[in-house]
Amino acid sequence: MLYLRNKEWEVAYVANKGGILNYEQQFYLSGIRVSGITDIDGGFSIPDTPIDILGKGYTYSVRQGPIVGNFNISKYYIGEELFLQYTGVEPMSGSINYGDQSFGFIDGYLTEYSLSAGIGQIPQANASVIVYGDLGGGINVSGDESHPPIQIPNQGSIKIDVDGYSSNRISDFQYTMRIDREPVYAIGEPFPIHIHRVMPIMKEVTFNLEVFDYEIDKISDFLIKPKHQDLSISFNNPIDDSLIEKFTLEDATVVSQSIKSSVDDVLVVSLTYNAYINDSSKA
Amino acid sequence: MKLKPYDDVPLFLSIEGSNTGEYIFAESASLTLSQGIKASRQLDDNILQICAYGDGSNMFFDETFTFEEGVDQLVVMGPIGGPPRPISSSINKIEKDSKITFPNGKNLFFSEEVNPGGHDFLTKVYAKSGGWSLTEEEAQNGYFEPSFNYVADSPIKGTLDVDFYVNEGNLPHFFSITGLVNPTEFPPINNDRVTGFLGDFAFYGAYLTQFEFSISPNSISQAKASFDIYGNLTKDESLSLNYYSSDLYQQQSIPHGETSKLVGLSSIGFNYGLGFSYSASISRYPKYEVPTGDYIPEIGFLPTRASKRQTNVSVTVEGDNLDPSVLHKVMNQENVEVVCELRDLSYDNYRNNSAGLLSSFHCNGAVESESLNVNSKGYLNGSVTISQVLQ
Repeated sequence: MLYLRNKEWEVAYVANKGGILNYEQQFYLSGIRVSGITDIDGGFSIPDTPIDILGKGYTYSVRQGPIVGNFNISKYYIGEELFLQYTGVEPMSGSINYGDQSFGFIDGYLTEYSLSAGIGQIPQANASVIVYGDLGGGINVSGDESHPPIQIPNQGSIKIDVDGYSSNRISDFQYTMRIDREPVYAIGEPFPIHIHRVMPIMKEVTFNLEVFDYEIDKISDFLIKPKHQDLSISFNNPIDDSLIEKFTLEDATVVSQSIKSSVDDVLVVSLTYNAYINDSSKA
Repeated sequence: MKLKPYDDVPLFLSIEGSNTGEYIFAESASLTLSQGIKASRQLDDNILQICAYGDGSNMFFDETFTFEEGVDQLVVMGPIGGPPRPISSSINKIEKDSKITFPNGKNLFFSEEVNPGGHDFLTKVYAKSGGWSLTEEEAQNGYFEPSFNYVADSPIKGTLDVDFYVNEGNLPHFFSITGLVNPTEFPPINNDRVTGFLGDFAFYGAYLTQFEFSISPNSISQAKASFDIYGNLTKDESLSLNYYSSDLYQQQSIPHGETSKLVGLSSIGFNYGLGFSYSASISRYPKYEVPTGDYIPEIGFLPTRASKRQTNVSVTVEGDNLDPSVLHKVMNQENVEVVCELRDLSYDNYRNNSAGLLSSFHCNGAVESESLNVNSKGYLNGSVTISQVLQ
C-alpha cells in the first residue's frame, strides 16, 4: 500500500501509473535483444460466428476458424538483418518486455520484409510476422544471444548494381520480399501441424530515378522485348567498405514504369522490378 | 399476407406414439411434396377428322360445301366412310375459339368449349373467312392443341431436408439410422416413424433416409438429414402461434473440428486427419395396398408400411499420408475401423460449448478406395473411403 504524504510523492505515483516509456521496453527475437527498433505492433483477432437457428434466431456465437496473430516490426537497418534468418521454414519467437512483464509470440513466420533507403536517411526496414502459435501476455523469449555488429550504412556505402541507368541518379529505393505461408490444420489440433512455405518467394525493387537522359519504354516494346536483367543492392560498412549484406534479384522483370513531373522538383521516373525464387534446394 | 421470418418457424420432431419431442437446433429446413405425373395422351388424339357436315343424318362428305365467315357449322367427327369417332377422352377440354389447322393454310375454330365425354360425335366449328371448302384429304387432317388430362404414376411422397447441429440429445432420437450411436441398444437399427411440424405445417409418417456430416479442422460442423414422408401434411396455424418459451432450446453445444477426435487413423496409414465426412443412407420400400370394399381416401394413397432395406455407411478421411497396402486388407478379409468423436469446444468457464463429447460415429468396414491429391501451391494428401453395410 502506498501512502501519499506530500506533493512530490503524489507526482511520482501518478507518473508510475502513466505508462511504459519507450526506453523501458525491449524487443527480443528468439533470445536476441534487437537494436534499432522504432515501432512494433502485434495482436490477434478471434473469428466469431453467430449461430442462428429456426424458431429462435440468434442463440450464441462460436469460434469459426483458427486464431492467428500478426506482428509488425519497424526498425533501422543497422547491420546484418536478424529477420532475414527466418525466410525459410523455421519459426521465430519474439516478445516485448517491459518491467517484469512481457507480450510475445511463438511460432511466428516471416511473411514480408522490406527495406527502404534514400539520400540523407538511415535505411529503414519493416518485417511482418504471422503467428500460428501462441501469442499474448506472459510469453517471454528474452535471452543473452549476441546481436550482430552494428554497422549503419549511409548513402555513400549503398551500391545499386543495375545496367542502363548509369547516367541517371537513383534518389531512393525500396526492396521487398514476400513469403506466403499456408498453415495445415488437422482435426483435433488447435495449432497447425505444418506450415507450408508457398513457392515462389517474390522479390520486388522499386527505385526512383532523377532523369538526365533516361527514356521510358513503350508498352509495344514490352510485347516483343520484355525487359529482364539482374539487379543487386549492396549495403557496405561506411568506415571500411566491407560488405554487410547484398540483396539480389536474378532475372528480374520490369513490371511497372511511371513518370512524375512537378513544379517543385526534377523529373522523376519510378521503376519496379519483380523476381521470383524457388526453394534453394531446387534452384 | 405476412411472411414468417425464420425465427418464427420452428422445426419440431417426435417419434410417433411418444409423448415427447424436441425442437431441432437447425439452420435450415425444407419440406417438399411431389408425385410423378404424366399426360394421358393417345396417338392422334389432337387430330380432328371431319367425315360429314350437319347432324349426321347424311354421312356423305360434300367437297363442294363452302364455309361462310363467322357462321357456326355442325360437323360429324371421324374417318370418311365412318364410323364416326368422338374426341378422345384423354383430352381434358378444348377451349372455345381454339384453332384447327388444316393443310394448305385452311383454318377452322371451335365455336364452343368442348369437354370430351367419349360419346359426342358432333361439334361446332366456324371459319373467320368465307368462300372456301375442304377436300376429303384435308378434312381428315385438322390439328389442334387441347388441354390434356394428367394422371399420377407414382404415389405422393414428401421429403424433409434439414441442416442442423448435432448434440448429445437429438441424435439418438431422430437421426440414428445406423444404431451405431449406441451399439448396445436393441434392435440395432432404428426404424421409428417420425412426426413433427415445420412452422404451421404438420407431417406424419416420416422415415430417415440419409444422414451425413463432415468435419474440418478448426471449423464448426453441421449435419444434414433427409426424411421421406409417406403420411399426411396438414396446416394448423396454432402450431407455431404459442410455441416459444425461453427454455425451448436446450442445446448449448455445437460440434467443432478443433476439439473433435478421429480414432483409428493409423489403421489406414494416417498420422493426422485433415478432413472427415460421414454418410449413412438407407433405402426405404413403401408398401401400398389396393383398396377393397368402400372407398376410403387414405387407403391406396398412403403406404401401410415403409420397410427398411440395406443401410450403407460410408466414411471418407483425408490425411497426411497414404498406405498403399490398405487396399490389400480387403483380400485378407481384414476390416478397418475409424471412429469420429464429435466434441464441442470444451470450454472450462462458459456455459455454452462446455459439454465435451457429443456423439461418436463408428465405421467398421472395408477400404473401398484411396487416392492421392496434390496441386500447385498445395501439398500431397491422401484420401481413404471406407464402406460398411448394415442389415
